[in-house]
Parts: sequence; C-alpha cells; structure tokens
Amino acid sequence: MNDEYAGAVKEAAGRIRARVPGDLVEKFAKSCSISASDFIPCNPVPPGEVCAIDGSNVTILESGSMALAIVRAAQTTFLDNERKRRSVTPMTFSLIGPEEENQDFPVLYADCFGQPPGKPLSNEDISRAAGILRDTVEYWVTERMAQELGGGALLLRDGPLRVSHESHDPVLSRIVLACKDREIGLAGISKRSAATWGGGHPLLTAVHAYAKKHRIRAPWWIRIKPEVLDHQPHAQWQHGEMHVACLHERSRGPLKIELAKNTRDAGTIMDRLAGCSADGRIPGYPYPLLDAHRTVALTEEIVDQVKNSLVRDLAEAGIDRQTYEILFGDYHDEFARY
Amino acid sequence: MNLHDTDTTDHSKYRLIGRSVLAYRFIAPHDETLYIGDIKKIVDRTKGSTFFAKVTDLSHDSNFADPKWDTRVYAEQFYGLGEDVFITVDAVPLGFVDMDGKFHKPRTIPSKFSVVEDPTAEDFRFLTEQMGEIEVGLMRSGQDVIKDVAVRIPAKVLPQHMGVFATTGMGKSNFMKTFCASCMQAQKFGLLIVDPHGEYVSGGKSSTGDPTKGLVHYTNGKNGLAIFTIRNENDRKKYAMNRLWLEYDDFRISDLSILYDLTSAQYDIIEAFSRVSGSEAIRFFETVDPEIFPVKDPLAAGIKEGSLAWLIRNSMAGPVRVIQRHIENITKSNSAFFRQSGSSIGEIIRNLHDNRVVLIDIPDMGERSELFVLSIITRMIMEKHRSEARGFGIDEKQESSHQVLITIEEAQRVLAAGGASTQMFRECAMEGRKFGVGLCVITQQPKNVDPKVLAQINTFVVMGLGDRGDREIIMGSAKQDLSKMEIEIQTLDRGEAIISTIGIPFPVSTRIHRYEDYIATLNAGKKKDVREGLETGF
Repeated sequence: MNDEYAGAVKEAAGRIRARVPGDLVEKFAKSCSISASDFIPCNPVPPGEVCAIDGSNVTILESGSMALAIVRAAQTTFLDNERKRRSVTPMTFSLIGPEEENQDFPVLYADCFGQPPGKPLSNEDISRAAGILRDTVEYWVTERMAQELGGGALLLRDGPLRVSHESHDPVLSRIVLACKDREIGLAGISKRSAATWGGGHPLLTAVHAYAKKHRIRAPWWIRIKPEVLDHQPHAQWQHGEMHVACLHERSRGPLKIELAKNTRDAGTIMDRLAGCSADGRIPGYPYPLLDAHRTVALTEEIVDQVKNSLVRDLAEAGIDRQTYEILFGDYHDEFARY
Repeated sequence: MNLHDTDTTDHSKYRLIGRSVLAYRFIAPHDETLYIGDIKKIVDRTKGSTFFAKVTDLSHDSNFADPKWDTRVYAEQFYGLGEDVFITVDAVPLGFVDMDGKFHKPRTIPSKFSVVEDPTAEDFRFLTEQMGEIEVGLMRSGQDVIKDVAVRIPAKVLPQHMGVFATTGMGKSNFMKTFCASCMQAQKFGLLIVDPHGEYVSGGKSSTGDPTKGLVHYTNGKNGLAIFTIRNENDRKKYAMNRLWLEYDDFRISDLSILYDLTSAQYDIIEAFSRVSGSEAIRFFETVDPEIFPVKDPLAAGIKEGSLAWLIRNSMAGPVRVIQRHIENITKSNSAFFRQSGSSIGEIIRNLHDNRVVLIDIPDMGERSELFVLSIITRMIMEKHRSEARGFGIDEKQESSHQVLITIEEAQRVLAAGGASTQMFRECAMEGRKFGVGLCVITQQPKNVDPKVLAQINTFVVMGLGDRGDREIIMGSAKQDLSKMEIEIQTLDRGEAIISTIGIPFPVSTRIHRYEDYIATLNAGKKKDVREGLETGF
C-alpha cells in the first residue's frame, strides 16, 4: 500500500514536472521566438483615476434539483492613492433549477440592460450558471462605469476581456467601444491563466522563468502573440489581446493582462498599472482590484446572515425544519461530527 | 439594477469596544495624535450617562490577518491605510455621571459602541464642585490642560497626611511653593515648613538654574504667612519676619536620637534623662566630668541620690563623653537660634493655629539643624495637641479644632522602616490625624519610607519617578488605583503630577501652576481684607 501511494505521488509530481521542465526557458525561447527585447520595462507613474470592478457569487443552498445563489458586483474608484468612491449592487437571489433554463437570468438581464438576453442560461451546471449571473451584474457595473468615469481613466476588470455567455458579448462590445470613445484604458487582469504553449507548458510560469533567467528586472510587460498559444481563443467572444506583466520587483508572480484589441497606448496603461501596484500588502497586484474584491466579497458572515434570514422566511412560509433538512440538508455536516 | 454608493464615513473609530468594566478600549485613526493620560468622554446615549476614562496605553494595530504585514521591507506605499490600520487605545475608567449629573464610581459599563469624544470644561463641572480649597494647578488631559478645571486639594483631608513623590528636577519646590501660596490664601489649616536652604522666603534658583520667587513675593497673601528666621534685622524688617529662637527647655535629650546614630549605651543615658528638662540636661553635660563614670561609690564621689549624675552612675565614661560632645555640638552649631531662655515656639504654634503658613527660615544651617528644629517643633505640636485632646469631655468632639500640616523634606531620613530613633515622627504619622496633626512627606525615594507610614497617607502627589521600585510602592500604597497609570507616571514631565486623594473621585493628572505666574495672578486679584470675618458691630 505504501509503495502504491508513494508511486502515485511520484507519478503525479513527475507529470507536473514534465509541464515545467528544467529547460523550460530554452524551450520557450525556441518554440515561441521570445527574446529579452520583447520585455518592455514599466516606468511606474501616478495612476490617476482608476476604477476596479469585481463580482462575487455564492451558492448558499443546494438540493438535488435546485440551488439558491446570491450574486453581486462592486466598483471602487481611486484618484491616485485615495479612494474617492465605492459602490456595490444589492445582493441578487437566483434559483438555479429545477427547470432546465434559468428563470431569473432573463429578468436580471433585462433589469440590467433593458432587453432580454440573446440566449437563455442553462441550469445544468450550477457553478457555471451562478458565474454567468454574477458576470451579468459585473458587466452592468462595468458598462455604467465606462460611461461615468472621467475621460482618460483606467477601468480594470477582474478577469479576462472574454465573455463566457453569448448574451454578454454585445455588452462587452459596447463597453470596449465606450472606453475607446472616451479614451478610457480598459484592462482585464487575471491572477491565473489557462493559457499554455508547446503542448501544455503553462504560459505565466514560462514567461516568469525567462525573465528571471535573463535578469530582466521588474516591473515589465510583454505582449503574447496568439499564435504561440496551444489553444487559440474563441475569436468571436474574445475582446482583448493577451499580455503578461510583472508589475513590481517583489511581485509573487506575473499577471495575465488583457487590453482591448488595437490598444495603442499599452505602455502607458502598464506604467499606470505599475503605479498602483506598489501597495506594501500585495505588491505587484493593482491595489484598486484588491479593494474591489474586499468590497464585493460575500464573506462567511454575510452568507450566515443570509442563511438565517432565509430559514426564518421559509419557516414563515410554512416549510418546517424537517422539510428544510430534506431539501437542503447536507449529510457531510452530519459526517463531520464523527 | 441599482448601484449603491457605500457610506465612506468611518464609523469604526472612536467607539467603545472594551469588554470589561475596568478596561475600556477603542480605536483611533493610525495618524491620530494621542497621548498617555488623555481623558476621554464616553457618551452612552442609551443610558443617558457620560463615562470618563483616561488613556493608559496606545498601540498600533490592524484588521489584517497577517500580523507581519507592516514589517516587510518592500512596503513602499499603502492605499486606504486608515480603514484597516489604526491605533488601539486602552483606557482606564474614572467613573460616570448619571442623568442627574451625579458622579459614580465605574460600577457599570457603557453600552457597546458608545461614542468616544474629547471632554470640555463643562463636562467636568461635577469635578469642579467636588474639588477642595488648596489650588495647585490645572487638570491635564494628555499634553494639554483643561482650562477652567482647577485642581484643588480638599483641606479637610490634608491632616490625614500628604505625600509628595518626585525625583530631582521634576518641579517639587515649585509645587510646594504653589501649595504654600494656596494655603496662605485659603488659611484652612496651619502649615509648617523648615527651610535650611533659604529658598522659600525670597526664592533663588531652581534645580534647572532658573531664577525663582519666594513666599514673600505673594504680597496679597502675606496675612497667611509667618516667617521665623535667623536672618539679620534689616532683612527681618524688610519682609516683616520674626526672629527665630528656641530655648534650652524646648530641647529634650531624646531629640539626640534623631540627629545622631546612638549606641545602646548612649541610648541608656538618653532614657535615663527622658524626664529631665532641656536646660537641666544641657547644664549638667556642660559641667560634668565624664571620667568619673562609672561611679562605684556615689557617696564618696559626692553624688547625691536622685541627682542627674546618680541617674547615669553606672554608665561608662565613653558614652557620657559622646553625649556631652553631641550636646556641645548642638548648642554651639545652633547658637544662631538656640539659647538658654526665650523661645518662639509658642508664637509659632499660635500662628499655625491661626491657619498660617509658618516658615522656619534657617539659611546655611545644614541638615542636622533642620532636623533639630523640625523635631523640636513637631514634638511640641504633638504634645500641645495631645494635651488639648485630653481636655475633651466624653461628649465633646474628639477632634482637635486646630489642624496642622508639618512638612518633612527628604522624609526617608526620619521615616525609614525600622527606625526606632525617629519614633516621634512615626507617632505623628500613625496617630497624628487623631490630634489634627498631619505630615507632608516629601521624598525622592518612597521605597525607603516605611510602608506603614505610606499606608497612612491619604493624599498622593506623584511627580515623576524613574525608579520602578518607587513607582510600585506608590501604586501599592495609594488609596485610589494607580496601577493602570504606571506608563503615565513614568512619562510625567517637569511640572506635571498625578494627584490622588480621597477628596477627589479619581486620580487627577495635573499641570502644576508655575509659582511665579500663579502668585502674579493672585497678587493681581483683590487683596484679602485682614478684618474679614471679624465682628464689625458693637
């Protein structure tokens, strides 16, 4: 048994190592034609007006046939280092199931954008459905801020400039257009990326290793040509161009940053991003995004409060404790006691 | 869909979050200027009460789970620092004022999240009403003073002994002169001061070298001052001072035990002469030949039974010689005020009983002369007050109508633990209050004063003590809890004090008046009429 276990662990480690081999940098340079000159240094500048947007979703009750999710989005706007405004949408409750199509999505979408969504939302994957509902309010906040921010501001979104549901595509198109018209820099920033090259080598790891080996001092950024990636993004839903940036010399690692297609002033945006990524608590990550996350996060305390309110209202509606347990009870809670 | 702006007002600061009735806590912005000793007002709108607390500790704190967030070398800039990074303020409750304006000890706790504010002078009206008569300074809150809240020690508690504890340079002399000026003004009890340096009369230089003024410069209060001095006639006339005289009969041979370290053989002689008058004792030792002792055959030596030599016939020559030398020293070195007959003691006690500040001014006379004068006057005051008390009938009030406070500088000299030789001062400390005699114990080293004596003191004036042992003994002896104020005591500046007395509901941080400024104010006011209180009709 021990040998079996040790062997399994060794095999898993070996498979991961195969994706990040010892000669990763050399392979990366050869396979993707990367050179040190592709890395452009950032000159951190006062970032001016920066607005960050993030969303949050939690499935608070789940039964075999349905789940109840809450979603919300928030924006936080800084002028240089000082926050000047922070706002949050109300918590939206959405029942995912038991129908095949989500009943709340068209209502929420129409509430946000004044028209029905182009395509319904399937309830089949609860986690994905909750994510699309969250994206809906998040895009609504983003579009609104694209209209309200001052010209020349920086608008940051937590995640890529790529939609996950067809009905969001026209919304993101409008956002990109509004930003272009108002000369607002739009950036989608991701802490992780699924992008790989050369048959499964992780992109961010390779870029970081290359910079380290060639002693390229952060902050820097590099544009990633789509053709070096293993999987070409779905062109129809993709509104950004991929960049990788390390925004502070003490950064934990690089970020994937998508800028709107044909952005002419990428360097200026990167300089401004570096200018707001020197917060001592999380150097290398644009602070406004951290603030947006802290603003929107549906914490354990909030979830507990919502659950308590729900249990109270369910009781008032005539659902007794036993029925509630049958519907939403989790045997794992029972298991955990032993 | 709506987008609600979040209220940007920070409600987390200045709200009570303490968990105990005896320990309050709140947080303040990280860049706020706060001081140990700041007094804060906690307004409990739910209960309609206003609580008061004194800041005892300040520490940096944050809401971050990572306790090392602030020690990373790459911490270059921070966004929105003030929300999650703050100063945690610990405070000790002083008490609360209820809806009727009545002050109570902190036996209850303010409602959670009660608002913490800065108090105004109006908030301390309850305290002003409870203050006494002897003004010494203004109430201090942190670095500032609360104008209009004068700190006045109640005169009625002073005969229950007062302690002034301060190291050199902390403003002890300034405090004492200010205290004297207020005593001169209020005339609520008699205050005795023996000054061997001549600084109280007309001032001089402080320990920091600044020129200072004396009690004679408080002209409006001169009716409350009587000075007995050995200075020349010109000086005496200029400031209306009295000539100081002590006579031999004021002296008791037991006074030697305060002035000298005596052996048991010498002490036997003192004991034998305990009932002998001072003049007789001095005359005896002036004429006696110590070499005749021990007297094996008194009759042959011509020593009559009952004579003074008879009393010490078994003593060896050596101890008698030492006592003789001590007495000779006393009479010679104090000849400026010590003479065969004619004493100012009666007048001194009369002035004390007229509630005046009596200053015994013996410049350049030294420590031994100071103790000599002090011990004689203290003994005579105690004897006088004791005899008055003995005269009371069963149904009469058992307290002396005369209240006298005797100042003892460097009190550890005469009030150290186990000092049987200084019994008279100890008696005064232990039972003086019964006879209306209090001690004003001034010392730099409270840990060297007998704890039993400290336990008798009801008014503590603490003016900065660097020694931890000294602070601990004071905190352990005070009638009010000073334990939470150790940091404040440690950080007291020159001229600042913490006054703890049973007359005032909590220990009060005080900025002592600068004597020169204080008397300037008093002199500018209306002069007290000497006829005040006298019958004007026929």
